[in-house]
Amino acid sequence: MTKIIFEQVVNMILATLLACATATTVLHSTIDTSNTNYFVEIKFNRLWLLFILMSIIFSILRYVYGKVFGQHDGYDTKAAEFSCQDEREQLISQHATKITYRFMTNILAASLAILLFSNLLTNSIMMLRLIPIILIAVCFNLMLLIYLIAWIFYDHNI
Amino acid sequence: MEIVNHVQHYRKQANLTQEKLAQLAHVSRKTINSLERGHYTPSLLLALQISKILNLDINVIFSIKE
Repeated sequence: MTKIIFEQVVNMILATLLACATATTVLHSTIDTSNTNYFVEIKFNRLWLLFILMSIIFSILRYVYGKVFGQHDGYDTKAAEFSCQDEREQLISQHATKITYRFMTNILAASLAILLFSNLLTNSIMMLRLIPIILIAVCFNLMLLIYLIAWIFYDHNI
Repeated sequence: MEIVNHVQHYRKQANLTQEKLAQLAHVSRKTINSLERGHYTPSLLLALQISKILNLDINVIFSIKE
């Protein structure tokens, strides 16, 4: 169970960082289509650097975790959250994936509706730019969280 | 129909701990514990492995309850 908590927490941190970096880039970038010369300025801020740095740190942590605890709890850096120690954990992983899939179909449908209504209810260009990023980030984190909760739940019940 | 097992009984008879049986069967202790409590139905491969470790016929350890 520790390996799944470790993997999912790391993934959630990275997903949030990526979303924040994307959001700030979108907010600070400028697009000028008024002139004949189409002008686009994309600004990459420090959050991107932090994201890259954290990705490297977490990759090293994953490698170390795999080397130290991998043999004991079946953690595999390639399989990541689908790592299984034995057939029982394989079953838990399958159940958790199924639950996550079911939740995600509903969450994605709901986010599509939110996207539709938010487009109708706001005329702020900034908000229109940000809403899809926020929605995708929320969906991403929810997906990781649901898999984690489902895994813990089945680990206690199987 | 459900599968009932007598792993705990025969494991104790063989003087094996859950940890040792798990080690010999290449599974986690949690899997053996879950199996003994009847929460988990093992695969045929694991059932055969356990019966081989305990040196008993598979039908002695696992049976179908109707």
